[in-house]
Amino acid sequence: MRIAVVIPAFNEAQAIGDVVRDIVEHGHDPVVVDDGSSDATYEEARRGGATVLRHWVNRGYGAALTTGSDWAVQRGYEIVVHFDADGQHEVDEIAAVTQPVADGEADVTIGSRFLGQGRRIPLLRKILIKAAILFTRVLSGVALSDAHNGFRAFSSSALRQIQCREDGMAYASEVVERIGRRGLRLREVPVTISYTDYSLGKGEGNLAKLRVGLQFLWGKLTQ
Amino acid sequence: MLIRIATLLVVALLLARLAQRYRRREMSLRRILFWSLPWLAVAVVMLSPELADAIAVRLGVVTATGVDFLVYIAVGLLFYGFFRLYIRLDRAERDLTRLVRHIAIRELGDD
Repeated sequence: MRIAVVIPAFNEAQAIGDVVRDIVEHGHDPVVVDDGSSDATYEEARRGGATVLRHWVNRGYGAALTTGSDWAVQRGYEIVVHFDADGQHEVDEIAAVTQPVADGEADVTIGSRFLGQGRRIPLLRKILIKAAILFTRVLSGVALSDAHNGFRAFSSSALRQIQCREDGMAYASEVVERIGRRGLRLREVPVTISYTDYSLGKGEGNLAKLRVGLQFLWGKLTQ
Repeated sequence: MLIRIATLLVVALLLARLAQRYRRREMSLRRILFWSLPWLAVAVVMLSPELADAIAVRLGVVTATGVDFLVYIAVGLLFYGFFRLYIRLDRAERDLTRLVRHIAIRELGDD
């Protein structure tokens, strides 16, 4: 099974090299989408051994994921993984996340930090995640134990059926909704999220998370 | 009376344009319905001003002068302008993403 690990990266020069090298060592193909970075993300990712697609203009998280996924499907990869650039996901866990798809038991898997022995999650973040889980369930009808987890695996045929339009972070909500609507077989896999100072600093603040929810609602109304 | 008929004609025209967009598949049904709402509201007010008056009085708005009407028209025009801008911007954003994606994938093919 050929596995492409798609990593959207915007100004991640500091962390991207290590993440990419780690993925190569585990025998997977890293596909970094440099989303208009102004730092050395492109060079660092290439030096690490990744295939790098370059967005000349910053288009956002969702747009970068779609670019990487489209490319991987075109190139005949059978499984496409979505992975964060900031080192908050464990490369060791790619095998577990892709397993149900590789075995044909699921079309899509999404990581969940609440199924596993996730490390300590800051309280405010935890409350927001719980609210987002409810939000997802009400809007998409898909019951998940985690929300906006960026660690996902798709079979290439599942990806072809899901055409997301959201360019920004609202992609994370939209993709779940599309999976639900298409009736794809979805499975959650426990994953560990490392809340390092670097990843917390890179991630959006809690307020920004609320805005993403509103963006998704607005998109639903007007698109 | 004349202004009511004129306004209703304008509303009918705008709704027809929305319907056209739907037929051309430029917009989804949900979006059409969302953007039709304000125009439908205008139509209701024009068809039954008494109802609008009753609502206004209940809300505590006491109005009846021509100046107010000018303001209403201005708000309507602004809304329409906003709507057009929104549609154009939305399309431009999508086109830009498609373009950026196309270049990214093509560049890699050239390597």
